[in-house]
Amino acid sequence: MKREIAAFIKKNYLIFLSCKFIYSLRFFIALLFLVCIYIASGHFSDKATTLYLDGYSISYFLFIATGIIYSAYTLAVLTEFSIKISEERKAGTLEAILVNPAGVTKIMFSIYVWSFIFVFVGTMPVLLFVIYTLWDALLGSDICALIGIFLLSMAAFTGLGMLLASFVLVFERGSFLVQLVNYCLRILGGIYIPFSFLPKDLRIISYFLPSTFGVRAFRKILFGKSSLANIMPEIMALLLFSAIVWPLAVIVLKFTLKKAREKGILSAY
Amino acid sequence: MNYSIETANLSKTFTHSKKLGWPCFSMKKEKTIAVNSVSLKIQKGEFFGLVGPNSSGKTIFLKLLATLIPPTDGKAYVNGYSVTENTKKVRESIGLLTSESRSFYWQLTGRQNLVFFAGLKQFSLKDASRKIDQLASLLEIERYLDRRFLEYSSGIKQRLSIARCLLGNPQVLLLDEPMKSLDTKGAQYLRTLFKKRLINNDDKTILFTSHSYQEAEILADRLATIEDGLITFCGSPGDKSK
Repeated sequence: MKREIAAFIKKNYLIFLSCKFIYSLRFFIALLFLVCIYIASGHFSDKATTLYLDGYSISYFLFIATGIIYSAYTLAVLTEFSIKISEERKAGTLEAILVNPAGVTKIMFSIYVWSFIFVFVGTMPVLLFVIYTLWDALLGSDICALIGIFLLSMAAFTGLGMLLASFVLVFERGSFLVQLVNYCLRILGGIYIPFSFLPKDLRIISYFLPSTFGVRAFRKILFGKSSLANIMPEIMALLLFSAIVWPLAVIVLKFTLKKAREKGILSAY
Repeated sequence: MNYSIETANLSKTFTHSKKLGWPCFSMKKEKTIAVNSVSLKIQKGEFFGLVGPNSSGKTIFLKLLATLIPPTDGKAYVNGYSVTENTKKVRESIGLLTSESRSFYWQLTGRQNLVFFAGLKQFSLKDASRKIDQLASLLEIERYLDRRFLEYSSGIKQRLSIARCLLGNPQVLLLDEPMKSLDTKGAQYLRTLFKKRLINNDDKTILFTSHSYQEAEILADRLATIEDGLITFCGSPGDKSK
């Protein structure tokens, strides 16, 4: 397993080096977005700081900063994972990879590990900036609870990522669905827009999104100084989501891979 | 008899959905028989050619043997392993050359590409480098190895594909149109390589496809012709002319 993972990391790192400009641009856009929010938040400071954002009297910038730090390690990994599989298919390399003795599980895991490293390292400067702004909130927070929520969220999002990867394998424009889910999670999942600000009908959708519970627990720990015991409802929701999505994702992924093989479309795009 | 490749009534049918269009939204299922009850026996150390026009089922037949596509019906064994039950063992025994030049990373050099695929075959970095240098020398592509894949000519891409195919020292080689994109000199070099080195010295089994009967006649010990998925002839090259 180690050699397959190392091969994927090295190969993707070399591709990353060959496309530095594109990736730098992505990073620059993320940073620009953060700066815009920071400036906008300052302009509306009188109103924004007094807004009751999902139960906490914090500025919109702090609200969104927590969303960004949360989504970077959960949502971004999910998107990157599916995009990477889509890229392999588009490049025609997926079939060349699958003809090797390394099984599908190893290959998928290797792609996932790269996605995590890429997101972790790639968003590091943005995250350091966010951590700097959240430093006061971080002090005195239950770090174990924060790590626990991250791990649970990662588990839930990995299941969702596998499910999305299944669609990428069979549908030519599967990456469009990935982007759609990504935006839904960001907008309706409490990352950019407070849950209490959403129209009532849309809130129903939010209840089915793992980020709604994950990021809420994250903010509870940071701004409400909650411990693990206080975030039990969110933990249960994330566990339930993982318990449903994981078996479903494994079944769907196996089924779609079988179908893609039967139809001979693994290298077609 | 010790067969490297053995198929019995191997078949593959693809089902396509065809939209009937407005105002009828239902889909019509259409079936295409790509490989039709193919039974072949290829001996160990044999150089076997499969000849047929475009869309005759040659590539699909190779993909069935390479475990990339499951058969609809029939059985196939590669190196004694079933392609449906022992997929890992089959993949360890084969080297597949696809006619797709897209199956490489265009941004990387030839060496970087081969190092990646060697990693998937459990090679350490040191062993991979040694093997890649050996193969580059064998295929005479040393001076191109550190150039990016997108800068390669079609012929060099084909040679790099053959190098990848030989990486894991497989016993059985499945080559889809190996002479495609090669000039006369390059094709002649590969013919000698396949015959003298890989078949005579290394005792490998080669199954290759081609749409040219003349080309297959020169190379193969035995050959089969395929049309619309059906084997229409199987024997020595001389037998057909008789």
